Amino acid sequence: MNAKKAVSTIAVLAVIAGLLAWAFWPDGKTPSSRKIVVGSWGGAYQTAQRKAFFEPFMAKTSMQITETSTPDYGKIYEWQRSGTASADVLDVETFFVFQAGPKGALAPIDRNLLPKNLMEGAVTDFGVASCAYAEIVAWNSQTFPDASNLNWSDFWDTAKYPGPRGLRDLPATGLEAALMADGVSPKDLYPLDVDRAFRKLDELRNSTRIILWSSGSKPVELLRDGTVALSTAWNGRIYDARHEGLPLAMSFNQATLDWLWWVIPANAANKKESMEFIAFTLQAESQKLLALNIPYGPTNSDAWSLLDEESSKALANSPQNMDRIVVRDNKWWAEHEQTISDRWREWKLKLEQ
Amino acid sequence: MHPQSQLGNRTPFVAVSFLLPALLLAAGLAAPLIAGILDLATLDSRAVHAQSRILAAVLSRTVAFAAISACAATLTAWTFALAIDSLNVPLRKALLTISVIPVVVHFLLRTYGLHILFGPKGPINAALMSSGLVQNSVPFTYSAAGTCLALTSWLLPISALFMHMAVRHVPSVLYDAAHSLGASPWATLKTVSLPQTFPAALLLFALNFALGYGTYLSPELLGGLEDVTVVRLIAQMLREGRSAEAAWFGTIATAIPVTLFVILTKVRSLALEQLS
Repeated sequence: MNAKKAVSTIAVLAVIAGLLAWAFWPDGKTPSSRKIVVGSWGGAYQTAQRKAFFEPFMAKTSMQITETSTPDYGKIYEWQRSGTASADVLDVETFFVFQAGPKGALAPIDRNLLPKNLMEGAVTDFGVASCAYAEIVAWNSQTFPDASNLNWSDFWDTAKYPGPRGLRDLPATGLEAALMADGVSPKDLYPLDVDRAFRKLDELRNSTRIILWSSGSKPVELLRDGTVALSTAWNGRIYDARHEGLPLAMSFNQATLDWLWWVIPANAANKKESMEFIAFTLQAESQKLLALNIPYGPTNSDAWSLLDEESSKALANSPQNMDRIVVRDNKWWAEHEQTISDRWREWKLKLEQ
Repeated sequence: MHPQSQLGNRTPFVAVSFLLPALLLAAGLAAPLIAGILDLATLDSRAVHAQSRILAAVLSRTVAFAAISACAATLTAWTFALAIDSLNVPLRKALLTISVIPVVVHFLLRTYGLHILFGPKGPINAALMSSGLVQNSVPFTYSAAGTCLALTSWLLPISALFMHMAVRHVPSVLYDAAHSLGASPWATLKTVSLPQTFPAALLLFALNFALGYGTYLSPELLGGLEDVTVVRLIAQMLREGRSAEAAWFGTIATAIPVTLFVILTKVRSLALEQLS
């Protein structure tokens, strides 16, 4: 009787243990309930990511992806302070990776899961570059029908191209452009001569009006309305605008290459799944699909062999464009960002001496 | 019941209603200041100097924008209210309704309207250029002028309503007296309308200043390179995760409109005393 009781007790316990294991496997999730929240920038870019990354990843892993927007960066610091996070993976800009990572707002990246052939500098302790874009000189082709292949010297030439200038509200863009306009060769750009760059920026300010932008859609708007004659812009935005029939033109000549990054907030609930997703998006095939949907270049070198010549020509970091563009030195920026940001603020307020 | 015992019964109520919020407010103001002092202690002297220069410049620019816009909105609304007061009732109501319509239109839409109206290819610039007054388009947008223009247009509708109410509250017996004494319209305006509505205009200026001082969207959407205001700087600090700095700067910045409000309220009381 006692033996029967013991057997039935063991059987009941085994059933309970089985149920618990099913309910909490693995890492507290049943296989079908695994899901992550991914934040990005919306518009044509997120649509392209959906086709290239989200849908194929969900089909392959049966994991669910809930899409959201990349929040204001201040909110990510709030998540850090409050011990929460409303998203698992976020698409962010370079400066944020270098700024927020050391402050503890981002989770470390597990390099072991990533593909091997990623471009140099594309993996850091707190972020992985998911695609490359360029900051280029853009103009309204109706205003300057004969203009072509413009560079930063042309951008500073207010006699030849009269009118206000649109400039991204980011010290990296302003300083790099200023130095190249002042004759510094792209290969000698880093380390930046900051004083010289600010002097050149003053020269532009004294010769025309400068309008700063921080949202990617703004330069398109400014050029379309004739508020500015020339503007810095992201190549994908100008490509889209041209696709929609707007008379805008751009040049990769001396364009500065930058990346968009995947990061995981420090308190993200699903870090392992997030890394799985990030690794998937960096596969050559995923990178090729993204480049075909929006002209943002791959960071996995193997993807180039999957793209035809015509498609790769539109990408900032394609082998055809690499000799005309400048790669931003993000290590240098990580060391100098704080000091230069303050100086940039002073310059904006005309406090520079 | 004895007044003392009445007060005695209300003591817990008074404590909860006034003392608790006051303590919370004091703690709310003190916390960011302490955080800020600790934050400042971590910076080197060059950084402190740079920060002080930036903050001083931003504060002075914000005060200038708020003062210009508050002044423009208050004076325009005051003139408008006095002007429509002498009109017949249907016309006055029609003009008042038109002036209030912008209140129900979303601010972003109104700002976009300003972009179209005052943009380089907008009707205002087209009219100015075709009249030969200017050769090139005037930079009304993305400039200090744009910031003031947007702030004024934002403050104006409510200001018009406010001043209209003030003008309507002037005792009609005063107008009757002025009329019976044979005062001209100008003399009535000078001796009755303006002094009677001056305290309201003063209060409106203080409110408009506080609103203009603290608004984010107008300077962000229509401001130029140098037109960084207090809230734009605070927003930027928060984006960079410098919340301690943002908090104490915000606390210090709050002192300006509060001080102005206290001073103008005192002046208003004196003006009211003189009227009575």
